[in-house]
Amino acid sequence: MKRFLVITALCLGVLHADATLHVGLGGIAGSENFRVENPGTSDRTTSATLQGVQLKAGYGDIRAYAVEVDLGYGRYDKNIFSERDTDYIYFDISLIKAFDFEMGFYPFFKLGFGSGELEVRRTLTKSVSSGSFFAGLGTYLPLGLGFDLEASVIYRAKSWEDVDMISNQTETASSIFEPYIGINYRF
Amino acid sequence: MYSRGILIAAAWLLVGCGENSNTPLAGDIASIAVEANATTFYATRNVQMNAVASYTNGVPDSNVTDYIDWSESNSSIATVDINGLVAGGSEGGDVEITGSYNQFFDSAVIHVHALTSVTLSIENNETNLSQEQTLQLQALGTFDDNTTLDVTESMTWILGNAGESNATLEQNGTLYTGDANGTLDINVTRYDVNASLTVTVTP
Repeated sequence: MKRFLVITALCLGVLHADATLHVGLGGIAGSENFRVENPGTSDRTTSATLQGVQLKAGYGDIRAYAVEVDLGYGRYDKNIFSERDTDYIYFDISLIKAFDFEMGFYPFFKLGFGSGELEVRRTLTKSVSSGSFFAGLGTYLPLGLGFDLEASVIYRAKSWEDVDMISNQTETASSIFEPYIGINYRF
Repeated sequence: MYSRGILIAAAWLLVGCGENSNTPLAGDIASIAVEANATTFYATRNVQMNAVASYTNGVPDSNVTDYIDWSESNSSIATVDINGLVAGGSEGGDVEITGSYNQFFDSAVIHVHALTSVTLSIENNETNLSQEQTLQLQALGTFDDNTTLDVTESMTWILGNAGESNATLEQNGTLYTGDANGTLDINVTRYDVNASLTVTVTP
């Protein structure tokens, strides 16, 4: 516990150097590869395009460290769990390390985890939740007046909630390279 | 909720709201079918229920007998346990056995023949027994269709009037006369059907 407090204090100290709050809005689009294991039959796979929008808020330095929370909404272009899969809402927490190479933009990498919930129309459930870990690369391009353009791509591995088949369960996992582009405002 | 509203409104602009038309990868539960391994049985015996779930999207059927809830329409005629094993009750007649899992259910009707009377017999028809002797007793039951069956293993056996004797009576009808003289009262019972027999133990 003591070690955790020390590390947290150090991180906050690092973040605080030139730290600002920021908010952002952007969009994602990517092809997600699903693997579904139904009981008693071979695995099924497909690729579904996920398109969505993402709101974010964070605290940190555009040239160094930042922490960020994201709230996203998206839709897949294919049904995975039911005849009518609809809204996918997700929430992420990320740790970002950016670099200042004095090139006028700030590359970064990020790590994080998240959870999500997909609305479905199954006989026994109306939603299926997911958990994910991700890592990715990107860059901030300052636009002036506190605004910057953010472009990134993350690799996200998702594990979906097992769905009830009475005597068995259907297990699902997916992964996606998730490009993001958006605008941030820092203050 | 406010932020979710903004997100959804923005997403409508970017993502659209059309519905997908493909068949989903995951199967879903379509129905449960229940059946009994016999449609008629005698009350002292059992019937096993079986339940099979059917799924959508090409997922093969699955035996779900041990995973669903079982219930009976009349527990005086028959009862069903959590594994779908049906046991006859005190009365005869038709009973509906239902298997269910959330909104899915199915039923099967079984006819039960009630046990109406029982008679007791003892090995060699000998009721004057010696000490430390082991004998086999038999219970014969008559059912409401006048069929007679051996119901020895289905009855409750009770040894009365044993006093200080170490005589024993097992639930399969095996009697040990013990090492004391006297009389032993042997009773069999199932619900309100019963029979009794008295034996004498001498040296």
